[in-house]
Amino acid sequence: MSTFAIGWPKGQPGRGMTVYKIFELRPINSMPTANDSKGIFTQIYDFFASVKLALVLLFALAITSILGTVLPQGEPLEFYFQGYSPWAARMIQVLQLYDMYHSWWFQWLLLLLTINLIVCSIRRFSVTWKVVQAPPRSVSQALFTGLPFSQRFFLKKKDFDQTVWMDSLSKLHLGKPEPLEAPQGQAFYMEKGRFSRFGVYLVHGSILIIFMGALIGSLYGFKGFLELKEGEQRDRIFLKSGENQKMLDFTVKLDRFAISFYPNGMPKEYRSDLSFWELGQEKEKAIVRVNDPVTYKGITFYQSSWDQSPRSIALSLSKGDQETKLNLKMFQPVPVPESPYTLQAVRFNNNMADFGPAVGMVLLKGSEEIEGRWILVNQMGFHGNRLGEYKVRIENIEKSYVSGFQVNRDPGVWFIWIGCSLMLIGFMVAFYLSHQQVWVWIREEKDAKGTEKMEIRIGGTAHKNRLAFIRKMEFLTEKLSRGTHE
Amino acid sequence: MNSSLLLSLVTFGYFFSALFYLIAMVLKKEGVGVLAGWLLRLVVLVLTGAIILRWVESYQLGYGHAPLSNLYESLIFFAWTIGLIYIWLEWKTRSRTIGVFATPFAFLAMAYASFSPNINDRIQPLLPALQSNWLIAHVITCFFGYAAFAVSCSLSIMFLVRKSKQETKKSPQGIWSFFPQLPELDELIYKTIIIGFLLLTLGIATGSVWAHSAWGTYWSWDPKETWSLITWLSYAALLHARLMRGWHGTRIAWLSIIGFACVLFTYFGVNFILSGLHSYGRG
Repeated sequence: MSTFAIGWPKGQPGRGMTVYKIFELRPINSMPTANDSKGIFTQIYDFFASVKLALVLLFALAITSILGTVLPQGEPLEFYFQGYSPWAARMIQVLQLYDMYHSWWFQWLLLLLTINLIVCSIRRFSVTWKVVQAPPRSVSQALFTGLPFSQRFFLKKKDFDQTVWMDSLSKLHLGKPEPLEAPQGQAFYMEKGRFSRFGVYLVHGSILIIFMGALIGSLYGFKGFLELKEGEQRDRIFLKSGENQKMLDFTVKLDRFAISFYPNGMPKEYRSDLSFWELGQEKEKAIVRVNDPVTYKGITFYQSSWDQSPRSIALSLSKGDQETKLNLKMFQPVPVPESPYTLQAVRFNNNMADFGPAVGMVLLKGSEEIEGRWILVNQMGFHGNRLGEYKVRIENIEKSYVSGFQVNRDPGVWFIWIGCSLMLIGFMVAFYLSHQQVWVWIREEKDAKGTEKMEIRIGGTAHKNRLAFIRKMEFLTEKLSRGTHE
Repeated sequence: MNSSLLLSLVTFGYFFSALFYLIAMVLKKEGVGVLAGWLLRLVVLVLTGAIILRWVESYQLGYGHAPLSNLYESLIFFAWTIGLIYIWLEWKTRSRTIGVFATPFAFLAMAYASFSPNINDRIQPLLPALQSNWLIAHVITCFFGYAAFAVSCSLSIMFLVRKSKQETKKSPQGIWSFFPQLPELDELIYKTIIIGFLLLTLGIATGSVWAHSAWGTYWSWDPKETWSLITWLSYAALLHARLMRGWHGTRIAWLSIIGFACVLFTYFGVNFILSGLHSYGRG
């Protein structure tokens, strides 16, 4: 237990320098501990209830978390075996550092923190409950010497006016002074913020709610992915974990995808018009934008990516001075007029080796492949733009969009939001409200000369922010002891 | 008149108010301190105007978004929040010596924003992912939190300086003797940390609401998120050490400096050293 002498740089130092116990430890820490007769069960309980463990875990989580931000996450194991020394790669494998935040030991740390949080809160709660339930302590010499703030002064009896006094006490804003039984004289007790002692449990409870939300999400929710071409519909999605597909009990169709741009060419909006179908009937239409997802039957669709795929390609084939125009759809072989050949577009690349878009085409004779090449769309004169005896020139590509969605169900997410809100409320209570208690004890006394005096003791405590409390008390006591009432 | 001109004035204004605070402390001239205080208030007022003007300018360009969208704008906002929190603290403690340690943070943020060649100061339209009101709430709360932590870091430095001087010298003589008393500094460190902690929590929460609406996950262990959690955990440890284990003074001051180092890494380190979703903050 340590004490600090308070000297104010400015303001009222009070009369003389008073020593207060400000940094006094909570009684909770000085609870009886450490004796050899304790059973193993109690020892385990004590271990999990200790603040020391909480500190160690908080620091351990903070320090180990750094690792996952430095080491690339989610790569295949070969990546680590190629890039790091065999020993380091082995460690990465055993400690699952490739997915550190889901590794067994990180989960263990979180579990330990959860247990610590629960056990610690239960132990403290019983103490808090007793404090909150307990009637105010009665006045005595011992009470006042034990309080963080305590002052004693005398007033002449003729200067003492009870009603004015009580009025001044109410300036503390600690509620109405309640009379308290006293061995001699009169005693009063005031208090405020008794229930602020529960703020800390609100914070701890909110963390448990958040953990619960995360657990529910990982047990009963899923994360998946869906790509749709314009006009396409699907009734299943790809799950992120594993290669599994998941059937939906409805069909989702992309009616239209659109991008709009700012004047400087930066994208302004990605928008997908979706419709949801059940048993061949359209049930609902919805627009999905980035930051503006849509939920249908508990499953949420987020705009997450887009792409383009060619729908039809207009091109000309020339052999000597003979030119043929053709229009072909992707993957559909089209016969080349006045020839034994067919032509088929099989691949599309938006930017082929920095030469712009390219179409992979093959020239077939029956089922025999004559030649396959990438035809560069924008480089019309490119000497490689040929197939067999033809020069190929792509004149137009009609594209349709492909829209990519993140598809989720997370029944735990409301726990997260409720947990966050409760945590913030809990912080407000725990940090800014405190249980303040003040005792006043007034006794009549005669000094050696026989003058009648009032001996007045004022003491108080706040379970938090004691410095400010003591300052407030000092200020008030200063006035009261001078007998000034205003 | 445009916002860029005002912002350059603000950079110099912060420099001179930091300088005047220093002169006032070193030469023990009360008058210079008063001047520094008023200059700082004026600077923060001009900065408020500049931020509003930049907002208006973004509407004139046809983009129309709050000036909180990239590293440049966040640095300016950071400088603004430091200024505000410090003015509140000066008014509350009636001590100007804290200004010597707090205002340079605001000046450095402005100077870095203005002079670093890596930072793009043009007003740019918002990418679709950034078009969210949650983003505005996220940035505002985070930066007020960061500013509170910056101030608590300066208070911690003051605490350590005063403590070491006080132990070696017998009579209070040096300039450090004008610092607030140790218990008061200790109390202020705690007070600014709980403000910062509350706002950081709110910042993380609003950020995860935003992430949830944009990407469908409220938490994805992206480096920026993880570092904000590391920061949160270290301040949570500090608060437990102080409230439950009775730590105070030197140890808390060091923890608060470590905590602010985490803040700085979350803010800059992640953008420049690591990569992730928050790479928007880069340009």
